[in-house]
Amino acid sequence: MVYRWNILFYTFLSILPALIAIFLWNAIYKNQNNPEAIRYITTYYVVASWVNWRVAQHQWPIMWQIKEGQLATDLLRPMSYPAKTFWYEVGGRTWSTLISFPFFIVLALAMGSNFVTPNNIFPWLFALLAFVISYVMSFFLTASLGLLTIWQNQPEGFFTLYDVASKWLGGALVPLALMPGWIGDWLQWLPFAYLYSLPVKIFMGMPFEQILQGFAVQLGWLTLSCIFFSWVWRKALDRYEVFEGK
Amino acid sequence: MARYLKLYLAFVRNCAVREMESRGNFVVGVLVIFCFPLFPLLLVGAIYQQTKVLGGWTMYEYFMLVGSFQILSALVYTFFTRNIFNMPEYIRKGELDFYLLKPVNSQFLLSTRYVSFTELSQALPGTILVIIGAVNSNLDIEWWRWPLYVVFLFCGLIITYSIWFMLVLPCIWMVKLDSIEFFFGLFDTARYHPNMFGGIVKILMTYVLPLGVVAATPADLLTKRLDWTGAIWAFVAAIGLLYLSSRFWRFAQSRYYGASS
Repeated sequence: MVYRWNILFYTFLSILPALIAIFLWNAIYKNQNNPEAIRYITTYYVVASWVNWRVAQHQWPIMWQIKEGQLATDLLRPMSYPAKTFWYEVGGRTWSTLISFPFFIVLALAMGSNFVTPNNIFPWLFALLAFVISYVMSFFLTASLGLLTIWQNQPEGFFTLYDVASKWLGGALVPLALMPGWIGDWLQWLPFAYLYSLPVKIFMGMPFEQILQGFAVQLGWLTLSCIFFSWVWRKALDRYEVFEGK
Repeated sequence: MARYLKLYLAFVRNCAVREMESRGNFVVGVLVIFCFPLFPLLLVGAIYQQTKVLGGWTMYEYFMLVGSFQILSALVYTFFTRNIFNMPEYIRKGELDFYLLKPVNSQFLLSTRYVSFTELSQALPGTILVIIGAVNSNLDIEWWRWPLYVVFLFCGLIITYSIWFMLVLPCIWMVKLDSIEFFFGLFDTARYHPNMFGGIVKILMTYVLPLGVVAATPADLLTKRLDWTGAIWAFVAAIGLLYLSSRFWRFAQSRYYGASS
């Protein structure tokens, strides 16, 4: 709560890109007299902005821990560093989610009838499950990226490239269904679509078979990301060197 | 003025030497950052699949706007990002005192100390987009518009810097404020032309928080949409916001208690 203003400020202005996108697409579809599309795009961006805001981004804290030598201290503790890092991240995110969630409710209410909610409990539950899986997957991917600091002393460019690429290619900034031609179809098979787009599409209503298929692919990517992180972590421990200070 | 110019050139030389110490990092950084501008083209493709004209802008005219935004982004990130990113850290660690004690304008020192040359690579895709848009839009752009284009880009740079600098100053009161991060969300609005929205959004983006004009004004000039009011407003906003940032900085300094307090 010490940094509550920071969280509130951050939340408010993280909603801004969604608002701009909603206004932009509304301008396009109003000219076409297409209220169904307006409802689709409004609901998509409200939910996607929340998913985008809450998905784990752990590369930066890991980078700082390595650069400042704090990783050595954590390695000496009688607990798994990845597990400790993960639950620390969950704790922080949970609290900031509780503080920031009312802003998203206000945003949804402000959209009025253009924001469409599911009419039964199952899309909510499945969307939440998909979000939890995407959160864990994002943790493994970004933690692997953060460990790059052990080999590359200025990995910030890679972090930003991942951030930009994952959001654009994952449907966080433009719905994949609206991507030109074959690009949208191809992007469905990258892991980024299962970080951002899948929870949103489930919330907006997907046939049950497609939900199952989505979960199957998402769990596949989760497994791969976990294996990848384990491999990177082992290599990082082999490579990591600590020099005694004064 | 000459003294400040000499000092700035010294900063630039120092930063160039530092970045080139690790040539591998520099090359990788340039290649990585070069890719950033490619992703927003997905949005352009998505928009123009749905409509042929958006707010009166065709796709190739919009390329010029997006390209202008990319060039401006490159300049902002090259000259100001690292400096503004560092400011909250200086305040938290008490290092701001060292900047305030130096015999130069502290806002100048804080804002220009570091230059990130790798970020400049973003300007190339932006320039290519502008050229592609100019060639394919059949506008027959006169030669004199190009130097003025550079002038208006510079106005946009000043507006962007001033707003970002003012947004980060509340760190002096709030200690931790990730205004740096959410600035990117605000700055992203400059990717769109205010006319694409209309109504209250257009007024907000043009006059209240004029990030909407930083890339739009140079693009308007090339696409022959710019009128006198738009041109004058770009200069007024740049000068006015720079002055406001200076006043706000002085106010913030008066509220800074220093590391020893």
